[in-house]
Amino acid sequence: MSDSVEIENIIFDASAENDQPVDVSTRMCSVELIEDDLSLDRSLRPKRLEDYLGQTKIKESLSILIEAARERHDVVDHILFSGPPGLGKTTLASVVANELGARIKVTSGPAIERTGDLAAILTNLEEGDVLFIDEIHRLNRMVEEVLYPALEDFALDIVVGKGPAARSIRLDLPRFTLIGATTRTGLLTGPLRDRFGIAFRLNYYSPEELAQIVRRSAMILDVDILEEGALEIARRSRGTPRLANRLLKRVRDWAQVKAISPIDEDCAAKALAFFEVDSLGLDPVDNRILELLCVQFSGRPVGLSTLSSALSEESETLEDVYEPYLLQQGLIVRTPKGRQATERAYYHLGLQPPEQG
Amino acid sequence: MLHRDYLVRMFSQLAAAIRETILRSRNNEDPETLADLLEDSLSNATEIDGSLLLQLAPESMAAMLQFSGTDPRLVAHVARVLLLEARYLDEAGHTTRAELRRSQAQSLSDSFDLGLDESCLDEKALEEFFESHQAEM
Repeated sequence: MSDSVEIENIIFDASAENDQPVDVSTRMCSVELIEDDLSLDRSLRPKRLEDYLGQTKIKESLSILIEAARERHDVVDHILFSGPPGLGKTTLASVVANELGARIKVTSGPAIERTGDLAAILTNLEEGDVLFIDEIHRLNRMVEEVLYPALEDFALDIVVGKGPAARSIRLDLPRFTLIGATTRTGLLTGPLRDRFGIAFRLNYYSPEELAQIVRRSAMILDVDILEEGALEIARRSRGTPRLANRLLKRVRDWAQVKAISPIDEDCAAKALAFFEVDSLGLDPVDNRILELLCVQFSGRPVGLSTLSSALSEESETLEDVYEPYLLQQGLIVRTPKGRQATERAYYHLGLQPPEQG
Repeated sequence: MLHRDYLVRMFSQLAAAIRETILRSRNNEDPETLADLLEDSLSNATEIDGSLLLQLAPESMAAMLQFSGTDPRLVAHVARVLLLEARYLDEAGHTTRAELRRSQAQSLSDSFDLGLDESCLDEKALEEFFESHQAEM
């Protein structure tokens, strides 16, 4: 029975050569959940909606949903949270459960391998419970089909017998709320997506919102930080609270060793420069990509496979891990001929963009 | 006739599995292996896939066996297997899983009115139970 989020073990090899492919999970700027985040997460995660910073519209909608369900003495409709990693989907799920005063069971799509695993989870739920399935797009299709009647009719269909004698028996389940989280909405099947009563897309946070989060986390961690210091960390956090909290910890470490307190803008900037996180939140790999496009390939469009070979990185990693933020920041564009650096990329590297035409 | 043959075969299989683990436990065999052996014996014991059945919450397991019309005598065998497995799991230090198996056995006992308790696992009590059911068939 799997009722916990599976976390991959991360091994950081400090002796790794620079030209070796980078383990994306060990990148300072990785927004994926790493082991180091876990201890931090427990203390920093807000428990109530009022403590949750940012995503204002989603918070308002959730507040209405929860209030209405409470008044009806009913469960909240199934909810889908989508958006890039590190924006707070899991946190929102636990906040919803807290607001409802309900128990939450946490699992993830890949952890539910067989229909029996899901049957075990579903039959162990109690009335009003919240079931949170992270990475719900990774549920296998057999398991997904068991979920449909559970979502629609709060029932579990179990096949009894074999061959011509096989028949299905329906077992009633307690009414519950499923909260699904996905980073890849496009990979969800239509029937599953349709069974969610409401879907929310989480957006990247503004530097001001992230600065608020950094200040709140600093208070919990008992770190003395000035507003400008928090803003500097926020600006380099790629719009992602998980990364902001991680960078705060690194800046705290640096400031502690250098005996600097409180953390101001200069201290935060120096600490993050030490950890090779630049003013836009780019790390050495991101900058290497820009350099390749601007310098090595002279600004011409470059195909994904060529770029990944030049970077000694798999094309999927390039596409899934590095590219989104560079695209979002307007540093690169995708053209029919391949990836191309924008003027902003040149200026960021301190280079003069080529003449147009 | 076919149904009776099926039941006799199931009774024999489950009884054999129970006897084998008791014998092997006397030789201080790893309790985890014994628990696995009992679990395997349940894979085809009922009409419901064993791996799914064993994962169900206790009340759901009892409900499923009731809805599917499983013979109460077969359920009595299954309940004993579960209770004995719980004992081995406890010895192996898997207390959470042991607790689940014990609760499942208890739930079957309550739902099918089996009057099951730890004393049913005494060797003498088990043999009497097996013999009475074989004789009945």
